[in-house]
Amino acid sequence: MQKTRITDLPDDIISYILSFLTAKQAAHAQIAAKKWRNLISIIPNREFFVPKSKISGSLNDFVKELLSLHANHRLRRFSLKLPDEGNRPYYNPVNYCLRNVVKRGVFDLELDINAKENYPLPLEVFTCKSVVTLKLGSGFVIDAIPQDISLPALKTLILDSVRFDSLDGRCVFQRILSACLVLEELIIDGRSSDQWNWSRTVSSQNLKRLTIRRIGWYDDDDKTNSEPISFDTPSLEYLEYHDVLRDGYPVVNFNSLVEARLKLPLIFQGDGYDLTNLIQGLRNVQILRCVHVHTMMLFHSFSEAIPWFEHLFHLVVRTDDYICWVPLRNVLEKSPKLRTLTIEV
Amino acid sequence: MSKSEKKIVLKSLDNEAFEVEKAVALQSQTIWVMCEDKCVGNEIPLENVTGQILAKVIDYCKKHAVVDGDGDESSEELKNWDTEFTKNMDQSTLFNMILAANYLNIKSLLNLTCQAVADKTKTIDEFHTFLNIENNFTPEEEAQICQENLWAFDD
Repeated sequence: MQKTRITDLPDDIISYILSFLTAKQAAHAQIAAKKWRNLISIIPNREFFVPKSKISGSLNDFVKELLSLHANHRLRRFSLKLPDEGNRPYYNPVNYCLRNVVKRGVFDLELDINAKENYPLPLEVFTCKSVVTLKLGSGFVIDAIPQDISLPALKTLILDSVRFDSLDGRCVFQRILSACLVLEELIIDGRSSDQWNWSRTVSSQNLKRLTIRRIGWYDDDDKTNSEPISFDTPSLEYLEYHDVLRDGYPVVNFNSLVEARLKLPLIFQGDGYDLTNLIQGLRNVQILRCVHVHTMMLFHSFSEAIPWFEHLFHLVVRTDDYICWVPLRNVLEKSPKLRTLTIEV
Repeated sequence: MSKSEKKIVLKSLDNEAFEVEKAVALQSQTIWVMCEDKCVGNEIPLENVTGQILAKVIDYCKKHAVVDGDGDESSEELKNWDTEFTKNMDQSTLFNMILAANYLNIKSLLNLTCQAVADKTKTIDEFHTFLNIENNFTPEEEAQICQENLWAFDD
């Protein structure tokens, strides 16, 4: 029987097939054959940004225009930024947009909508095959994910003040993380991670860069949230960790860590925090930055825990003339290969 | 309804006859319209579909007629079945399935097979090899388009 080739298909069917491509595949398809350049188009960017004003009419126009685009228009980047305003009549248009761009093979998706807790993020976002960079923010709770959650292309996930809840007794955050098989970078911003109903375990085999930036980490009036946190991230190369002190760090796997940037508050005598595992977990680090003067003091309080920093060649400390010298000496004594010491005042 | 009325015979381009449950065949909008119009008897000739392809289409419709409307676990199972169904099809078969699904107007099968083609073609080379199309750009033109979409060619 004679083989059927794609060129034997009528244009409208080829066109329909092409509408299933991601934005990235579409770029490759455009080069594959001259004829296809006319059948497919890639929109580089669709942005909707309102600084601080009324949004009703213009957002609806934006949605209408997006929905009216032919299915063959693939979309590379989509960004939606809405101001913090009292009531939320715009959840529906936002979700129309999201469902639509997920179908257009979006590569880079940024959502910054200042929503309230009851905003329901569309489940389709979690089965998007094409998205490589995903930013979700802010204010809402993710408590529902689809059974078949899969983000096979996702490399960068940025969570800006979103919260997670558990679903059927399983940690939603952990389930999302385990659905991202090629994730390289995770950024958790904001102060709400303590309010998550989560397993307090960051576990990912491929993750290379992790940033946890707890805003308001220091003079924090709510001292109750110091539950232990674990890191099972054997491929991690870069760690930026701003947080309150924790009661403990049961698992710390930073075997590939190259650079760490720490901002942790002062420990007082009588505090029950145990940073032993965290400090020992840093043993392979090559560049260590303690970006707050109080962080250095941890190397005084936990001097017993300091490992041999066999690979450490650059140490950056912020200091103060009366509190930093002892911990600094403690670290220097354990750093045989140190070549550069930067003291920031 | 008598037993014979529940069954329907589909006849392929190469005169192969398939007796199937009406509920199975009616997933095709095209067959549904033909039956509604009563313009055919119990035997429906399908002039654009070969027996080899029609057999696969019927497999798909049988599977989906049984499971549709059941609970969550079934839909998961159905999804896995769909994946397996298209996994080992060569491109020629896939294109014939697409043509058949389009002609018979079975939307879910059309989407499944189009998605399968999309999944098998991720890079320029795959477009050329899997889809068997010639590269008719000059190297300069190709470089120009690459340049326009650098983000897509970074790895």
